[in-house]
Amino acid sequence: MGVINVSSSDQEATVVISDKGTAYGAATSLTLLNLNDISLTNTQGTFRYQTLDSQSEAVVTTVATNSVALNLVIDTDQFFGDGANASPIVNKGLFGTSNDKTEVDFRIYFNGDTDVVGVTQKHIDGTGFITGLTPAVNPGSPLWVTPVTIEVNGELTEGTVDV
Amino acid sequence: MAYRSTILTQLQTDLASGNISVSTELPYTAGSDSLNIKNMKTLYLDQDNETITQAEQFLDNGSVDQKETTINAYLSVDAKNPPADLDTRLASIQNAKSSVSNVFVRECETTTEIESDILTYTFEYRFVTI
Repeated sequence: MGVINVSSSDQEATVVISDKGTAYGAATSLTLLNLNDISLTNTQGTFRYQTLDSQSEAVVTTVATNSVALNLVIDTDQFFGDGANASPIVNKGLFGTSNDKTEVDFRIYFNGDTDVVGVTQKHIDGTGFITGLTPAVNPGSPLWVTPVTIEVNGELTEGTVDV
Repeated sequence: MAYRSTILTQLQTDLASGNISVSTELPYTAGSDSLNIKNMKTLYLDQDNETITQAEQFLDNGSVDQKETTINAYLSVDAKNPPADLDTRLASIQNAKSSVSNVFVRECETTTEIESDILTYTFEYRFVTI
């Protein structure tokens, strides 16, 4: 039991996006750089109904809507791809993958992607589409920044870093 | 290069004629009076003051730093009998901020203070770079 503190250099919150079905291998993945923040949304759909024998509505859950939202400062290679890699996601980067509507696997490490002895390190995985890119810059803040949304296709699953 | 020398070079050009001049000396205090009080109608430019802060913080413990540089300049004139070209010279002093390049913020704030019959202008140049 305990809070998840990501301020330690070996327990950083990390997002990896990977070519679909490639098990997050280093050669087919991008570990996103310059992340400002990450938000994971797991919203259950609900259906409310009323009955004559109750003064309050009842509710049942329906299907969930899942998504990941994050903000980052753009790294050229990661945003536009290196243009010369066998891995589609490394080749095309975030923009090309979004523009091509290519489905990707993603993994969010809550506190580090390398096993730290004595620390429980969880991750959540899923598959989805990159969307919501809105690169912006202005004279008072002269670095390109963009939000990124991953619209999740299907279930989220949880796992634990090497135990 | 320190921004002081860039601004100083610009001010030496802009104030080459007229009733206001610029000194290469720092605005130190000689005796009981600061130099700008002792030598009125002469502008004194202080040293660069630098502050480094984090413009962006990342979850991987990285950051993008920005450097803010401020430089103060001081000018005193006779409040009862200011130079005829004072407004023109004040504009030149403020516009000297434009001589600094490769920064994304360049500002000059002017404040005034009257003590006895001496009107003192304080100019704060501010520059920010990534």
